[in-house]
Amino acid sequence: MEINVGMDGEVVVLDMTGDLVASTAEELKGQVSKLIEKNFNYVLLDMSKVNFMDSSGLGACIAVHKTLNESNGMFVCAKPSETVSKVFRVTRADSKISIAPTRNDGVRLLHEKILERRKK
Amino acid sequence: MVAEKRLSLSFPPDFRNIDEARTKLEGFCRDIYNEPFSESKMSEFLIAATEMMNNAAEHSNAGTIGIELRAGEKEVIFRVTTEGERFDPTEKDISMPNLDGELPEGGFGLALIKELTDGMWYEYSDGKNILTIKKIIN
Repeated sequence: MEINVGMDGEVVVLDMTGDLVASTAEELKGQVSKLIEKNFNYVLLDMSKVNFMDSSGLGACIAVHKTLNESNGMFVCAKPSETVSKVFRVTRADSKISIAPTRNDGVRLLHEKILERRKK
Repeated sequence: MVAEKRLSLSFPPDFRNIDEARTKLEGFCRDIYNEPFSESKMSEFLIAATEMMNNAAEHSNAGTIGIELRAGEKEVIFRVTTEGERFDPTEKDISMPNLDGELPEGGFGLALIKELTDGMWYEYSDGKNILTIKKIIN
């Protein structure tokens, strides 16, 4: 598994390639912990190149979602494959974690959230 | 018509070995079925099989995980075997975790297996824990 980190405005984009499973889930959590330490709290996970996810991978997404929420940030998963979507859907985790159909939609959603919070 | 074919593997309980086993299971199924079962059923089977192997790696103290896939015309039967004391994962509540309130980070594995397969059963025989699933593919 490989995670490339990029920025789109104030949004951190994690570009993941490989499977998000028990052997790799900790890597995602560790990457996001480092971002939070540096005050980057709006994170998009581009899942278009993630072929497979198990319940450990799902657990990592839920952990990241919770941690970013607690830091007044937001987590969005973008463009999951059908297999990955199935895990989100069957567990109903997609009712809690924001899932965007495309990377651009996900980035837009995060930018909207940033603007909305600034107005408050 | 596909005659039943079998794949058996054994490996130490390490998650990287499970990744390798999953790749072999997928390759085996794609090789033997001329009309591979739908991508949807393939992914459901692979998710369930992975959860079974993860469960064995996490909760058994066995030094080796044994797996066997029997692929027939209408269904695949997949079995995970570990040596050790009796441990029946189906004894506990295996319903999907409730996401209202505090969001759980775990407890989805067995619920996914139950949800994505057409049968799951446990047996303990000759000092071995055997968890089996059936997935109808045709």
